[in-house]
Amino acid sequence: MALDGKLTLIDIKIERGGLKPSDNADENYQAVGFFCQVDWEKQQTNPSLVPMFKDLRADSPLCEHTLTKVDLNDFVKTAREKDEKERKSDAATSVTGVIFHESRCGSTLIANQLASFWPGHARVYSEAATPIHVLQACNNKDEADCDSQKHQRLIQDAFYVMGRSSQDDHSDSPQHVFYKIQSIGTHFMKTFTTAMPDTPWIFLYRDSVEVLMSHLTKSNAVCARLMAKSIQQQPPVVQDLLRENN
Amino acid sequence: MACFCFPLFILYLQAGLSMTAVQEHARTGLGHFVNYNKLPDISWKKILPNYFGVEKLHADMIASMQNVSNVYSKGRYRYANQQWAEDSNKKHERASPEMFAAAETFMSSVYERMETLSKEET
Repeated sequence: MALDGKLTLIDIKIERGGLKPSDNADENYQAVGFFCQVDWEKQQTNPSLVPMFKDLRADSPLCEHTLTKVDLNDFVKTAREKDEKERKSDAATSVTGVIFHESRCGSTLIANQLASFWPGHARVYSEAATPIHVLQACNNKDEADCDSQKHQRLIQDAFYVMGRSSQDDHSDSPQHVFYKIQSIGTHFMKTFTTAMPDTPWIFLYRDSVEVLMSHLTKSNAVCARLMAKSIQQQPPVVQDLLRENN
Repeated sequence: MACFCFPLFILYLQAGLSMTAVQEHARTGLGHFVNYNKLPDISWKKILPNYFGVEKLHADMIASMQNVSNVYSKGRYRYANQQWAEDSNKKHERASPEMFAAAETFMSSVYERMETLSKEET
């Protein structure tokens, strides 16, 4: 079912040392993909009820029973061969657009609009786990622990598989797959654009006072969780700002 | 970090994200900047057709996006299908002078840059 695109890639686990460089240039990354049957129709019917991918997954009654774990490398190789043989159009799996954003700035509204504008022909991975996990895979690691080529292949393969889920029996119909990345994912924007240079992206921003006031009325804001971390655990750009301002 | 002022920390994070995006745009010349105050119309006027290359938006597609814009976007549980009301003015009215000063100090430069970039048509 995963090979037919009926199951959705919901998460990826990179094996320990799975991105390490090796002497063998043909050796690929080592990662495991988790798939299950996601009820995408719920997103199309009323995206505001399942605003994040985790909500959609939680509201997919068949997900738990169809949970499947595969070696991602092997799966991608087989999937690409199958798609090539069946002459599936590249457009059916490529990324239509990516939303990066500050927090509390209407990103979920845009995601919901994209999810609803063409039912059956558009999907949005709204802050799903897979994109942020693959983008962060080499965070705080140097080249000795993380081969950039393997990392790029992992990113490309992850997005390929996530887009692949959008194919249905009517593969002539245009399919659009959008991604809203978690706000913290903006710090990995260069990692994304290096791996996927032709993918359009937008950055959504808002007046700072409005963002501040929005956070102060929300009890479990992401920023509150980040504030609990040490300075050394903050993103590098934030560390620089903190040091500049003592 | 426990002694750190929460609003200032938010501004640091926001500045960090914005500067990263601006730097990435400077590096590649790619990407588009969208201000919240242009929502919801900009989705069908610019984002889909111009930035994401999805042409031929029919009237019913735009109507779907307009309908979605009328409800609270994170409508889980008790917020399901709750009418959404623009409240940016209220936020400005409730903010303290110190918040305005801090926002000006930490964000004005990068915000102005993003405003300039948002007006670029390429």
